[in-house]
Amino acid sequence: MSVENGNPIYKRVMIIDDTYVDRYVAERNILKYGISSEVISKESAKAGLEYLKSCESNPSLLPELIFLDIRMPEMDGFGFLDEYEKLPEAVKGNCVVMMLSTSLNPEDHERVKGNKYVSRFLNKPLDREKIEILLNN
Amino acid sequence: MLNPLLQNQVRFHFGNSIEIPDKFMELLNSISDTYDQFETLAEENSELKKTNEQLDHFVYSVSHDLRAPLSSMKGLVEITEEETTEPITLEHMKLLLGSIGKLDHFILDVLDYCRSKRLEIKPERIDFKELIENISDNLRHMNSGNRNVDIKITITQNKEFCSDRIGVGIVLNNLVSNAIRYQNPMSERPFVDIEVEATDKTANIIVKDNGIGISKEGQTKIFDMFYRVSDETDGTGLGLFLVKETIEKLNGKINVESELGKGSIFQILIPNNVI
Repeated sequence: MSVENGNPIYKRVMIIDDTYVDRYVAERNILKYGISSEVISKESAKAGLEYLKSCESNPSLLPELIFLDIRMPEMDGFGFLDEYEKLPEAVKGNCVVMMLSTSLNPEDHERVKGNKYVSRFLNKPLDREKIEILLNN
Repeated sequence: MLNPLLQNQVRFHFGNSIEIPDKFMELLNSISDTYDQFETLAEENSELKKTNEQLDHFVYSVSHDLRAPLSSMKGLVEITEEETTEPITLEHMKLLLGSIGKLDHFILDVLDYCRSKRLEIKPERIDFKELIENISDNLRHMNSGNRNVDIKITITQNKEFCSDRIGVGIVLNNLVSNAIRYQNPMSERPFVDIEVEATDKTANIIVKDNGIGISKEGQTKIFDMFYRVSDETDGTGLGLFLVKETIEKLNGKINVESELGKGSIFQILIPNNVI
C-alpha cells in the first residue's frame, strides 16, 4: 500500500498485537495517514522481539516506533517491555514505544509511568483521530 | 480453653504455674472471647479485601474482553466509512457505529455498577484536582464528540477530604460523561463546568452544562433504574441510577435543575469522612 499524504514521518514502524483485525486497522491507517511508509506487523511479543534481535546485524531495518498491545496471551505488553530492556542498545536504537489498549485499568498506566521507552498510551482502535493526535505531537 | 494468644500473654507475664482464682478466670474467659472475635473479624476483613481485589480484577478483565472486539469493529467500520462515497453504505456505517457505541456504553455502565458493589467503603484521602483531571483526560480520549466540549474545572480544597474514592469517582465520571454526551448539537460552544468546594465538613460539587437539558417530567424519573429519555441517544438508563445509589451510600445528597434546550445543573453534597 502506498502513502497518500506526502512524506511519511517515519521510515518504518512495528505493530505488535495478537488480534488480526486490530493489526489490519492499525496498519491500514498508519499507511493511509502518513505515519510511515512501511509497517512490520507481528502477532506476538515473542515474534516482535525475534524480529528486533534479527536486526542486530543490520540496524537500518529497525523500526523507529513500536505500537504495542498490552493484553496478549503468553507474553503481554509488560513482558515485552521487560525483555526489550535487556536488548542491546544497538537493537533498541532510537525506538519509541506506544502502548495500545482498550484498557481502562489505571494500574496499567502506573506500571508504564517510569518506563523510559514508552512515550504514551493510546486507546484502540488506531483510527484517524488517534493518528491526528500523533501527527500533532 | 483460653485463646492461644491470651494464653501466651498470661504465661509471659505470670509464668507457667500460676494458680488462677475463679473470679479472675471469669475475666480471662471474657477477654479470651473478645480476642477470638477480633481474630475472626481480622480474618473476615482479609477475606473481604481479597474478594474486592478479585472483583476489581474480574471487572477490568471482563471489561477489556467485552470491549476489545467492539473497538476492533469500530476501527473497521470507520475505515469503511472513510473509503466509500456510497450514501447507503455511509448510512449503514453510521448506524453500525451507533449500535457499537450503545453497547460499549452499556458495558461501561454495568461494570461501574459492579464496582460500586464492593463490600467495604473505605474512606481514603481524595485530591479532587487529580481525580477530576484524570476523569476529564480519560473522557477526552474515549470519544470523538468529546473534543468539542470545553471542560472547565474549578476546585477549592483547603482541607483534607476523605470518602470512598471509587464511589466519588464513579459519580463524577458519570455526571461529566453525561454532560458531554448530551451536549447540544446546535450550540456553538458546548461546555461543562465542574466546581468543587471542599470544606472540613462537606464537598459541594456542581456539574453544569449547556446541553440539551431534561424535561420537567424527565427530572422526576432520571434516577430510576433503566429509565432512558429516548432511544436516539446511547443512554443506558443505568448511569444516574448508579449515581444516586452511590451518593446515598456516601450519605450525600443530589439535586438537579434543568431546562429543555438550555442545559442542566447537577449539585451534589458529600460529607467529609475524615477520620
